[in-house]
Amino acid sequence: MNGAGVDFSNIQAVVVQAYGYPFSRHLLFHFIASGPAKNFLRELLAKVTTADQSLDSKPEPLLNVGITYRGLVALGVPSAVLDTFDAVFQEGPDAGALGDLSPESTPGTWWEQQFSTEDVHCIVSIFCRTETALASASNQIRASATGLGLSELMARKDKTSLDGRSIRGGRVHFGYRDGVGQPRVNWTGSTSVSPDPNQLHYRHFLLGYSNADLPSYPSTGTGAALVKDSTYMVFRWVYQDVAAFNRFLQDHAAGLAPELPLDDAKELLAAKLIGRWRDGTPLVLSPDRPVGSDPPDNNFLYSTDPSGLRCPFSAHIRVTNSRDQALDPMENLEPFPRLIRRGMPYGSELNSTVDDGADRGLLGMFLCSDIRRQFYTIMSWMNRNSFSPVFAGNRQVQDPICGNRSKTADTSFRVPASTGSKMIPGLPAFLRTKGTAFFLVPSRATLALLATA
Amino acid sequence: MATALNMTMALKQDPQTQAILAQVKATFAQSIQPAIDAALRKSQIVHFARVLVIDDKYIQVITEFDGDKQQYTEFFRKELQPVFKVIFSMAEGVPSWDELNNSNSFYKYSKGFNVKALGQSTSGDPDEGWLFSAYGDKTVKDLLGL
Repeated sequence: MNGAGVDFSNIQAVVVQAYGYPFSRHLLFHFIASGPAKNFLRELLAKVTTADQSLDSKPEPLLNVGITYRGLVALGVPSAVLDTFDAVFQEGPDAGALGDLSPESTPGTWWEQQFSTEDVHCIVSIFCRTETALASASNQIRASATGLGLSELMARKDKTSLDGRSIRGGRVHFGYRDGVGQPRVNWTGSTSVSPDPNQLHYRHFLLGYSNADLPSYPSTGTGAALVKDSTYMVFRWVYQDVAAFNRFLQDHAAGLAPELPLDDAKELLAAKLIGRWRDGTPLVLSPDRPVGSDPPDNNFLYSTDPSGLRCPFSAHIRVTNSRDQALDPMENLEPFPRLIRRGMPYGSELNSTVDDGADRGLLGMFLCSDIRRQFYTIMSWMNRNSFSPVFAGNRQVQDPICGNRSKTADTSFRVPASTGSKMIPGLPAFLRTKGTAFFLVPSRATLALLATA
Repeated sequence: MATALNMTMALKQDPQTQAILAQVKATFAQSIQPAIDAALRKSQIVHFARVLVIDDKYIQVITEFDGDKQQYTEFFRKELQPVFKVIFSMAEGVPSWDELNNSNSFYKYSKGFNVKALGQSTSGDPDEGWLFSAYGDKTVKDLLGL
């Protein structure tokens, strides 16, 4: 893989492409002292997967590393440099901005109360094709960390790892095909105007290229040189209540589409919630049925659906990427927020409306160059759909999948129809946050500097 | 629920700064207030706003607005730049405007000068204090029917 604009040999591969491997493990570490931590990073430097490496032969393991602000402090990065980092990255996750305010999602409950987010210094993410390879690779990393005196943070009470597992051929627990709407990144940095609204300059995601239009921090000087080709990553451990989701479909599908057989009505409701059929077909392009194209067509605009008759205004993909839909004046002050999403489901599948008590959900990795402008903005839009004139008179509603169901939120789901809107009441909290941490995903050069300086 | 911004800054006491302060106080109603009014009206997110000077020793910018600080301090920087440039120029412990005039520094310093109200936020946000609202979580857009 080559990029004329950026040096792919310097960028961690996870930034540029989704691996599609079925097994992943995220190991979290706390640095006890800077010397051993630097030695650990030196060992990782030889193992980290960069974007110039061909994955055609399906090599394994693939390995990526991230370091928190507190990790940078522990490594001994000078405070004069640390002060130039993104202030939001320095602060770490903010419960208010994330909407993690319910008793079930508040930061005090994260990581199953085994440690606090401030304790997290480093994440090593391993991706493999087989469980055997995953076990072998993680044993090597753990042996290295243990030998150097690092402390591994076990995020579960039962001391098991944070392991992702591909399910249903690349779907997430609610049954939707994953990874369909990723932004397309122009890694060449060409300034030619592209008609493709998904074609984004790499400045949206890579640090060290800050300019007036797309600032990122550190923006200049030693800090900017240190982080060149790195990115920020928001790691989210999110529980998904599959039984509640299945019950919601069961209870409300007939009301939405009484003319359809129940199973078809459930599929329609599932599609209306997210904006795509579960095979990835966008409702805007095919409002009546999934078409099964592979990959699903992602080339569409909402100007063809101005009343939301095909895709409801609050549908998840219309909230997180409203494409050509008008924004309120405030929301136009900064470039449109997009995120590169990686991640994988965890836990066993459930096809029932009765919860089995098992933990399942998503280990999400969200990549960007400005956590405030990109990640927090999208979180705020999901938690209150009040960013576009299309919500006029109905601005307390939320993303029907990801909204935090705050105390004062309108938990109804509005589905426009030619015969008038249908309001489906009582959206439950389908998600619960179990942990969040902000990482710098260092370039190879950044990692080398951190390991030696 | 609206968010409260209670920016409270100690004013420099040198004669030059105090002269600028006197000028601000004298011309606020005619020249500064209309600019703030226009920007806040355009924002559609600010419920109330006022600027206070206490004994020529402290200046406060107090607003109640919809959303969170991370997102909306950038609005204040971009849309009310001349106002904040003057205010920050009079405050103790603030770098030059050239250094401050970017989204990162402006957010950092604005947050640093914010005083948390007493009590507990009704939204459950641990970083926010108590803010009474007679109309619950209604936003400016809700109230104006936008």
